[in-house]
Amino acid sequence: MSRSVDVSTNERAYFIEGLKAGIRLNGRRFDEIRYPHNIHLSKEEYGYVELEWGKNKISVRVSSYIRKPFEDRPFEGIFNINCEINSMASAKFENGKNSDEEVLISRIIEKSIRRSNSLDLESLCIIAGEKVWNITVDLNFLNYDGNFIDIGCFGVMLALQHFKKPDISIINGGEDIIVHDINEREPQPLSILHVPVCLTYCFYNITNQQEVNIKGESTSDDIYLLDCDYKEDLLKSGSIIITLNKNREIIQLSKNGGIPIDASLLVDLALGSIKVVDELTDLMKKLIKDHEQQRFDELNLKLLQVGADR
Amino acid sequence: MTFKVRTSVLDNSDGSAELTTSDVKLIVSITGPIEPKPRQELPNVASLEIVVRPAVGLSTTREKVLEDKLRGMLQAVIVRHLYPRQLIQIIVQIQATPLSKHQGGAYSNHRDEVEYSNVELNAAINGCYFALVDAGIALYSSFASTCISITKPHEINDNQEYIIQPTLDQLNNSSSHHIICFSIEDKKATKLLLIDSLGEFTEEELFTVISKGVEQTELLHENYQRKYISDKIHNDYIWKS
Repeated sequence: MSRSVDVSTNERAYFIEGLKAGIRLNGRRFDEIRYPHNIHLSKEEYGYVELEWGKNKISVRVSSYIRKPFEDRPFEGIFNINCEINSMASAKFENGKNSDEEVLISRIIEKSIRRSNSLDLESLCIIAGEKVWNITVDLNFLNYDGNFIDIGCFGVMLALQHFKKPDISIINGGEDIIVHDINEREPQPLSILHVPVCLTYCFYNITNQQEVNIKGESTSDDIYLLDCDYKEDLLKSGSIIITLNKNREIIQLSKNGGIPIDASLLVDLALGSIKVVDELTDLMKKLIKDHEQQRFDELNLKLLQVGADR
Repeated sequence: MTFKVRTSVLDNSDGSAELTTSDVKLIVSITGPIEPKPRQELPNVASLEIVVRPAVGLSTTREKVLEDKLRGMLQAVIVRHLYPRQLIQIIVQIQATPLSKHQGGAYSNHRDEVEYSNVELNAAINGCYFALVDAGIALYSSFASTCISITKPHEINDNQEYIIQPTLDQLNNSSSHHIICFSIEDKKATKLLLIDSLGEFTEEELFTVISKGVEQTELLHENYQRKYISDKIHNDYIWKS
């Protein structure tokens, strides 16, 4: 496997001609994503998820421990996301060296999830100024096939919803706490305020008239593709990452260089994304629900339930 | 003991293996031989770039130690002179450890207090074997590794037990545990490639552990490695028959 893949001029021309005819080489529609598959929610641990998305493969682990909060924020828990990409994903990522692409991926995921406050940090507080939960998400990219941002965001949100932290009780008038074993008391899920979904659109300039584009006039000829694979990603001339949630809120919008696009196109993109966002959010919800139900049945938790069904 | 292997799981690597044992899960990817960076290049042999990534958090000195131990062991089995001026990248991603499973993913203690155990190294060595075979890297011999723990002396009769592939509870109640890796030729353990011990033990105990290690690695080779490799070859060449 070589470190970098060069796309020949022929290949590029073939790809562009395909786009002109409305065909993607992978057979998808322009606004069609690859749906996640082979999703594995761990039954032994809370907050461990493996999933594939096209040929992308990731594993996400959420872990928690108790620590002292930061002094300026005594009521808030601590939440961080580690996503380091190494050469396991693809030889183009170097070990121990943050490439620009890697920084972009981790920043966007961080911005979409952590800074959008999707995890309620105040609910992680145990004793103000003394003890709070620290939630760490480890995002491991195992195989690269374009579009790490969307899949990373999906994986992290799925794992956060899957995760449960041990139940605690406060004793001695708030001086001490007991952390209950997960087998002793049912652990608590995290309080998630909203579920952000990232979508990446890649732009292609098919007319190849560079001058027109610098002026920012012609955009009607530009083609955009949702959820690019490896090769499409190499050939892109610009991209935009939109993060939305089911409440129709735009959380984050990032366009890092590349060809200029029409402002009105942004509105179209955001509107067009809604359908995909709904689908992905519902998919996450369904996965978590099915998993819970399965666990409930397998462990015969019905026996532990108190109270009658109404 | 569960011991499950899947090979060729990653498309972008030349060889990969996912190993699931009763308490550790990890994935090893191998890329190589490829062009090295100038500073990695060795004139007459292949250089190895080994990266171990922990299940939780960022790499610490602990992962560096694991990398060094793995390197020492792998350098003795990979036929490095076949790939001069080339690089072989070996990446071990630990996905689940006995500790992560113990608390269901939640560490109630501070991370620094998480107890150190060597079982990941054991799994990493066994995972590397399948990944190296999958990548088609030349090896001098097969190799297999096992973990043996010695229980604390019994209160009454001072008896000590040897436990093969201990669980987390058994590790916590042991006075020492050992990782033993043997090279295997013609189904027989030949050279001791790596032995790594943690805890207190006597010389006599260590010799017992080594002799038990011979048995165990031969068993592992016979029961799992041979079976997986022959299945793999059968599946890889399914077009040929």
